[in-house]
Amino acid sequence: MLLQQQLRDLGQSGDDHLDLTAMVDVIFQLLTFLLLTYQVSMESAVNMPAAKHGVGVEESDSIVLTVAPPESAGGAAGVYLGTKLDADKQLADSDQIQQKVEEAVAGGKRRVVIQADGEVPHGEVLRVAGAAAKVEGISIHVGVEELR
Amino acid sequence: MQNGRGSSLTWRNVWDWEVSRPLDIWDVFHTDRLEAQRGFTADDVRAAISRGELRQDDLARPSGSSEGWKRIAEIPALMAAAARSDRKPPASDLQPPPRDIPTAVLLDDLDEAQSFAPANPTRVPITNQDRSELRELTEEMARENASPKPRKRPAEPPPAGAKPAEAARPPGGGTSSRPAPVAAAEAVAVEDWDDENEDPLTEDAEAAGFTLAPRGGKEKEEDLDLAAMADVAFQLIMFFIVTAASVFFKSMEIPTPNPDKEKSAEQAVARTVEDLSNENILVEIDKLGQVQVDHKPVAPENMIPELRKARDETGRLTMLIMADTATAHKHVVAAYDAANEIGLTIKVGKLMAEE
Repeated sequence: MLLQQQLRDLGQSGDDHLDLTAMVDVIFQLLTFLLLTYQVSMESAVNMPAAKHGVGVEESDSIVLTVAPPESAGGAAGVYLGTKLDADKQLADSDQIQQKVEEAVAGGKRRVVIQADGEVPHGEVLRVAGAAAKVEGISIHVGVEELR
Repeated sequence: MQNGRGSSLTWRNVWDWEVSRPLDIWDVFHTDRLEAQRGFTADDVRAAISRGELRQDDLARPSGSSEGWKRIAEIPALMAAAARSDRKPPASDLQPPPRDIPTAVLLDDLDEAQSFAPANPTRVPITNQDRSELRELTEEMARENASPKPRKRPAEPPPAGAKPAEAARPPGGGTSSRPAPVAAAEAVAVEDWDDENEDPLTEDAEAAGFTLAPRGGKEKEEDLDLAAMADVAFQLIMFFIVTAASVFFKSMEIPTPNPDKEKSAEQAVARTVEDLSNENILVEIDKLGQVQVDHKPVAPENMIPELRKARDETGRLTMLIMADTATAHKHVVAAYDAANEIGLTIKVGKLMAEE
């Protein structure tokens, strides 16, 4: 740096001092974007029960089935493909569930995560799990929330 | 107050007692010619004033002292007799100093200044402080003279008029705290406050030249090395890029239900519960969420200790969960969690509806 100062003082053209200010600004822009889009875990549309011993499952390796509580007692629970309660992606019966799981397995996914609401009857969860289990080579996981 | 030395003192001049030199020798500074002269007695000053060679706005100070220069009008010792004398009105033909007169004070000739020196002037060596002070004064006056703004130098205002002019002294000309700036002598001081005519381009040269930048020498640039900060920022970015690529679902693995068993589920369940209970810790959950461990009702918060006790007593390492189909999912998840806490393998059984 002393040499650079000396060269600068002499007015020579060998001033290779690189101004890092602009680069740092861009870095901070990137950092801010990534911070804001960073998610520790995917948010679910249903209130899953909390558990202490959950393990993380990567999204790239899993197919998510969201099970919403039935609208009326004794009715069938709504099963949706994905993390949101999207009516377009509702799976009406076990055959559709099985079909979707098969497609996912063909796409390389090996885990089925059943994100069921805490009030969903156990029988409905078993029904969905049973439908998914008909596809070979998968493991079934029950989605839980962080215990606070 | 009178002292034995024959010169009149006022209370303000008490500090002169500390100085071991005659009190009636004065240094005089001509503000129009920017010239200092020394060795004036008070009588000499008064005589010069009456002759018109000295003005009341010129500066004076006790000779050889380090006090600041004061206007002669503010020194009663010099004005005492002058007030009584028949003062001539200020000469109307007093011209502004011609531009070709060098504005620098002849400091080097100060010791030899003899213009108005009395016969036996008292020589007191000029200190460097004197020189620097006078130099500053002359530089200020030179700047004011060189100012492009035309400044009228009107006739000498009468003493009564000096005070309003002094009060209206523009602050721009007084950035330093000298006792008697030259601008006080000008009657146009009031006009300087005319905002309509104020032209920032022609403002006081000194005010225009005022800057907060450090004077003397090239300004040193302080370089802040940002390389370390950039490295840390890159580290953070890479961390977030890597972790953002993988979003996690928190879940617990449960055994895959075997679909084949559903066909004979009723028989299978009816047949093997007792057998299974030999190898598995039986956990039954009814539709209300009440838990029974090995047919013993257990409060949910005691489930883990009970399971641990059952495991330790019997050595069974598997938990069989038999939950009603109407049981809420959350109670079953609690049982899963308890099994993971203790380290029991989970088996999920299915209660068929009683027919």
